[in-house]
Amino acid sequence: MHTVLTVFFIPVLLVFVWFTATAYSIIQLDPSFSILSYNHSKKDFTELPFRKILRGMQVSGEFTAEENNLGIIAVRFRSYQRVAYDDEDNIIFRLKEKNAHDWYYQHTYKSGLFYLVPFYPFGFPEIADSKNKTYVFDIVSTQGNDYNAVSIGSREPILAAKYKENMSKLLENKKEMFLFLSRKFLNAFQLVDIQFFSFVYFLPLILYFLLLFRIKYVFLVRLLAVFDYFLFLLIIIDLFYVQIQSELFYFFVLILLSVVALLNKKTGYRYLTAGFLFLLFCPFIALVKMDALEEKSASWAFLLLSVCVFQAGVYLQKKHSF
Amino acid sequence: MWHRLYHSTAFWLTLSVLVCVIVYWRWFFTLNIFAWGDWGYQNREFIRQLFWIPQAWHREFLGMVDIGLPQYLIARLFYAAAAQIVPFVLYDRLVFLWPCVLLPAFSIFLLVKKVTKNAFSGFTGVLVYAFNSYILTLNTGELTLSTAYALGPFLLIFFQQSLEKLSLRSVIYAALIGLLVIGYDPRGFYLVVFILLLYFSYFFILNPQARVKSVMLLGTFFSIILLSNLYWIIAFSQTVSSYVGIAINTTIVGQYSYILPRPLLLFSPWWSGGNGRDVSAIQPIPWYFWSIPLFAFLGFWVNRKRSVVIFWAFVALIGIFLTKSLGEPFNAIYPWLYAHIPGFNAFRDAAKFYYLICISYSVLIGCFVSWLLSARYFSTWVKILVILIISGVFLFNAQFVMRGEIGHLMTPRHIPGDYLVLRNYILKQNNFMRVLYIPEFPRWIFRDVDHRALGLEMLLGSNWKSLDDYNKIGPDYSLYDDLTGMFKKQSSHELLNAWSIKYVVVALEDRENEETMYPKNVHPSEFISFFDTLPYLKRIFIGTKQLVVYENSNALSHFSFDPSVHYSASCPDATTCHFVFSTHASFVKFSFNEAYHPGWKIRLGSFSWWNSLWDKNYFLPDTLHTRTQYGGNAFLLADIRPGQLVTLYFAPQASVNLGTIISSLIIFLSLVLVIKLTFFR
Repeated sequence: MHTVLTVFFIPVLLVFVWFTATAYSIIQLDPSFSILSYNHSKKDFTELPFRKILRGMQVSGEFTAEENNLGIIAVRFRSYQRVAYDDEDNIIFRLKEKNAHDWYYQHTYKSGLFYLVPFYPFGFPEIADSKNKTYVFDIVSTQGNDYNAVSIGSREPILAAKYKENMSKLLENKKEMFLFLSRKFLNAFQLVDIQFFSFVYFLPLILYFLLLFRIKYVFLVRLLAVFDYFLFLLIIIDLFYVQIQSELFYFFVLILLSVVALLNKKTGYRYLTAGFLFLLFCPFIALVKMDALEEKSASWAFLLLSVCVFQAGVYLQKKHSF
Repeated sequence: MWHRLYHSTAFWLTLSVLVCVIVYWRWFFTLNIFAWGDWGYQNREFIRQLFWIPQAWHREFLGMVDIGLPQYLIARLFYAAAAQIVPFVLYDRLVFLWPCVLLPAFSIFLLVKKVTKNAFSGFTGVLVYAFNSYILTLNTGELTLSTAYALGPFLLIFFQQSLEKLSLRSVIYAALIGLLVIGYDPRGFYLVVFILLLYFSYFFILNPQARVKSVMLLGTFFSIILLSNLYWIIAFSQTVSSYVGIAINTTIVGQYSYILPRPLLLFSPWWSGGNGRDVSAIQPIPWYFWSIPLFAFLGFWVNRKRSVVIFWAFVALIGIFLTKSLGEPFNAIYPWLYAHIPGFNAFRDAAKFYYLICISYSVLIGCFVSWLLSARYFSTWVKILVILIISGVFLFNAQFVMRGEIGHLMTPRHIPGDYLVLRNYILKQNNFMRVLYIPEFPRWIFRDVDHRALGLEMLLGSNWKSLDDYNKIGPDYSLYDDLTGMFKKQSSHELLNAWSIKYVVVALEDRENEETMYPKNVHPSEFISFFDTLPYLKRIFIGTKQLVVYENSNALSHFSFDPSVHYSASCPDATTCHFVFSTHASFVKFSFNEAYHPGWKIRLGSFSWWNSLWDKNYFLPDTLHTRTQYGGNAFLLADIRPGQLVTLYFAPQASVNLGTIISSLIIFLSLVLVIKLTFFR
């Protein structure tokens, strides 16, 4: 019974956790269930300045739609600091079919939105017969200055086109629905964010197998001993590359750090040092006015120090009474 | 000798007090008036009248339910008692200014010393607590909260002692201190109790053999607190509808002001050093603040084998987590707590949780210093250098206060002569009246219960249905139009009369005292020119040089009867007025211009508040009580005979009286018991 539990049930449970967490992240990043997303590369931009988009500057692109019902263009932005609402830039997004005279859609957006959602989805009325047609879009700054301006993010994907499936048709046909869901799930892995998060959600299973088989294989013990360094690496990737606010990611890494802390008493020292390093990194980030990165670095410092305190409490309770 | 001094508690405690006194020397060695922002000048004539038993009704402005009743012990009783004897410059110091400086020097010292067993560490803890940016900004205007916080460690020490020694005496001491904490500021009490409950949980988990007794001690603590505060708990329960929208607001403020790393660094985002509290923008973090969490968490790390140090590290983390409010990580938790945990919505400003960080960092840094002093592998010079760095961080903050660069409550103020002339003119008049200040009542108002002060902005901002709000067309309108709109209506004169507004005063632009009442591009002369045109206001010359005063000669008195009758009235306190009529009247409409509240009742005949508690028909039916056109109270009295006693009474006061008796009894018994346990074991 014990063997069945340890070899079967717990791994299955952890796989289920991985799947659920990944699906949740997919939904969080792309909350519309019936949306299919296709990434495009930098070469789909005709004008792509990676520096700050100041007043009057524009970013332009052109792409061919791969499905019908085109309804969203998502563009990745990079924000530098959180500014007061009244000081934010007003960004115009507009879209039309190539060679069309008038813009099909045009709207103004506050730049503060891109701070919260860097890969920002610009929605517009669906184009039912969009498949194989070429569209052009512009992003124009009207009040950008050195203080409030944003730029296009450099991390791929920087452009995605999203298409809305016919939900009633899917609901009528189970096979169609299953194929759609599979396509959607696999499609989501085009995004580096999903690849990264999904990997992190898979780590509990990996850690579990390391624990399970460490008695048989000595090198697994060594891997376990440095597992926390691996987690620090993931944190650094999150800080400098992924840069998305994900509570689930914080939660999983926090749990992994805590489990590793309980297994290995020496990690307390490392967590404290890492926490201090992330904290001391903040003033340098503040010098270049990257508020989002500063906040993230301080968040990780806080979480590492929290795990440190947690570990000390647990070990003390095991040893001493009050 | 140095060795003896180093180990001398008296020496380091005295030094703690001295440093605090030197930093705040202006409050100790001068008799200047200090007032800033919400910390205003409280004239003696008014404060002296508050020296009475707790009153459910507060005779200020248009009259209101007293939402400051929880602070009765300090802000009413002690403050008013001191005002009987000494002037403002002393009673304000005795009750607020001096305690908020001196109490931390004792309380934090004793708390840190209790943990570290080292007096020098206690001294370091005092520097950390008293001179961090949050407490320094708090002392620029929120002295009630600051003093409540300063008392908190005393409460915690006694509570800890009560659990460690299972001592009833200590828990009674803790409860009595808790009374004082509430008396200063109930919000401070919530936070101190939060730490207290955390400590109780920690003790409960680690000490299974004393669980039952510790629960009983906790129960005793809260029972004493509850019963000794019954007078205002009852008052609030009876008048709860008055507090909707006042006490509990719906939105979290300053959502992104306290995001990490600021709470981790114990950096208040409004701290601008020499400019004190600057709420116009979030301030950059000075570089030396980055050392604070390093020393605090090193203090945890080197003492991690001590459970009490882990406890304080845990408190620090909770404080940091709650202070960051809607910032990362886990930014959904604070709104959830705010929406679902009873009482948590009192903390719509997460800055209050800085207190947890202040007190825990004091302990942790004190622990680090204690460890450093006993560590053998550092030379003396290294130890001195590190301690100087730690002290220097906080003393550098303190020097802005000492040099007066912080301004605000460190800057002496002077009452403009015109307000003193106005005071003499108003207060020597015997009849009841209100004085309306334009655009808002200034810092230097001299009022008492029969000579009330009103500010026009406050009136317009309140939910006063009798006022027809100026119809703002879009976002661009002028303050001048907004404020003068009220006077352009046909009923404006009637309104002033109904509220007994006898004088309208155009306040001074008092730049010398940094009181900028008028926004940009608006000048007092504009208002003066406007009021000069009103036919029902007559400009009078009372000897003031710049202050302009208008008289409304038709202002009604506090009570009016229609038809007019002969009567004598006496109002012994805020909630009771007795009338004796000398003529007969079949029907009389009695108007009483306090803000309408259904709690006001009329009793015909002899009156006893005790009986009013139990007899549901003690007062006239509520159907005879209506709200006047301008928001006052009106009663319809029938068949009034000569010599008949008619009592106007604020009915919730009866419950307050009952609660006061119970509370007084509990406090008295607690004091008797604690004296007996202390001196007559």
